[in-house]
Amino acid sequence: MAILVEKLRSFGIGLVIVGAIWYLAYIVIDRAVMPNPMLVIQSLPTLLNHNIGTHFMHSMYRAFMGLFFSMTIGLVVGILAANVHAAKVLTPFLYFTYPIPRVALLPVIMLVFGLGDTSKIIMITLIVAYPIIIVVRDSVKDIPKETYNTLICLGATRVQMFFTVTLPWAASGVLSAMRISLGTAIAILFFTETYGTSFGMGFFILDMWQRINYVLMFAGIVVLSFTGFIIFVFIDVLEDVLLRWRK
Amino acid sequence: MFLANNMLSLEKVSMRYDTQEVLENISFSAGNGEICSFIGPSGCGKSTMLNILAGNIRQYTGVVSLKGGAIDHRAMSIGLIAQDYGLLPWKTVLGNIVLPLKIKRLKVADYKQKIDFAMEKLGISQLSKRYPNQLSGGQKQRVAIAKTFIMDLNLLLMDEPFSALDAITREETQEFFLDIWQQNKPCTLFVTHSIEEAVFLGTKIFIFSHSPGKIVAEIANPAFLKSRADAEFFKTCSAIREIIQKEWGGT
Ligand SMILES: Nc1ncnc2c1ncn2[C@@H]1O[C@H](COP(=O)(O)OP(=O)(O)OP(=O)(O)O)[C@@H](O)[C@H]1O
Ligand SMILES: [Mg+2]
Repeated sequence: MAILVEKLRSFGIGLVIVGAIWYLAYIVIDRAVMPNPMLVIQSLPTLLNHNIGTHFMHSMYRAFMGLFFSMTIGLVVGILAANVHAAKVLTPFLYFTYPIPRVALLPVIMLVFGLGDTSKIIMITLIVAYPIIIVVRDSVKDIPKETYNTLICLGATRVQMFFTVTLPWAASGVLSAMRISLGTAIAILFFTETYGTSFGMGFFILDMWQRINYVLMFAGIVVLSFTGFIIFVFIDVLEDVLLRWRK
Repeated sequence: MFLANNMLSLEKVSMRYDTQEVLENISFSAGNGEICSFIGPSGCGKSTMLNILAGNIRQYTGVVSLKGGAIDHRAMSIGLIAQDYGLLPWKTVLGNIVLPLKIKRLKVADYKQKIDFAMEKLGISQLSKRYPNQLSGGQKQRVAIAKTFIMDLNLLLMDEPFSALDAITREETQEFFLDIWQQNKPCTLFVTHSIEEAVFLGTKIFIFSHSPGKIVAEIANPAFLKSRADAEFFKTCSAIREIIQKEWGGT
């Protein structure tokens, strides 16, 4: 519980700082596209008339599924890539595909998997899994050899060593990578929601933009940021529970 | 002769890292009921020798055998108290202590009494839910000791197992070790920097040279388990000190 109070406090401080910068931008830019933050905050309750709950839940669902698959794939492929034999195939593959602008594959993905949630989740996974793979691979490679010593002495099997040392070690890498990838995940989420759907925060923001309702557009951006914030806190809590041994 | 129960033997065991010779022709044998104390200067290869026996280092030359054959870590029980304690940071104290049982696929419940007894005796019962990085060096060391002494062992390797303990805890822990050891008396190799400790706990005492480590003296200890006030104890310590002064060049 203490951790949630702590998060809320830092949320409050962040809110004040961002609010101040925003207000300054409002004064300096002085155009309709940059509305007064006070106005936007006042408009937040009216979002309820715009079905915001549904949009919000759609975005949350896509983001969580995308992060879940990224994490799973990142963990499995990352651990494999740390293995000398698998690395012979995986490393060239990763290096070759890493620089491809995977966002540009959206049309292909949509054509194959349809316009629904599947293609959006695949898109997020496709992009977010990569950094996780790299972080997990590097962290597994960095496991000090001595960590296995007690187990070797006990005659542990490879499977036992994997589950006792490699996997817990890699899991701690996944969480740090997720935290770093979260911003990207939200950006991709927004991007995918601007096509082929009429639900989700991305759609809502774009819709308000086209209706030249900048106040509600910004209200949508606030909600989308809040989505990211919730996931951030979720990762923090997960880390707190799973990685208690690090403190 | 080599088929005696749990007889450990090393024949001309040598080991080198890329450029540096670390161990040179180490040969000795020991059986059940023996505790071999090893004294040697820092960096002479004592930990390396234990790690060879623990299966952690494979690139050595020479022959190592236990019970007349190569050491089979899976079939046998070999206890290692590593110099760095060898605890897994993401497992609690209790999790670390039961790890050997789990690896050997033994039922933890069958050993509950032994675990409680060891933790009680070592004064770590209150710590069972903590993680290693919430422990002091001496507490970690006692966890490593508890973990190693739960199972019945064929061979026990101890790398400065009491080094991080204060004087009182150290003596209590040595007593605890002797109590447990005397139940089965597994062949034991015991590395220490303390001459008194080597004499108090060793049936035999081996002295290593500077790096590359060679055995320069092997002493059958007449003062094993004798009181530190005993004349024999004092005499043996002095004899060892003399050898060390000669072999290590005054340090
Ligand atoms: N991974 C390694 N690569 C290269 N050299 C090593 C490595 N590990 C140990 N050494 C060297 O091997 C020698 C023996 O090391 P070892 O740890 O066995 O010494 P030790 O007798 O246990 O010393 P101490 O009493 O300080 O624990 C040392 O000179 C050390 O520098
Ligand atoms: Mg050492």
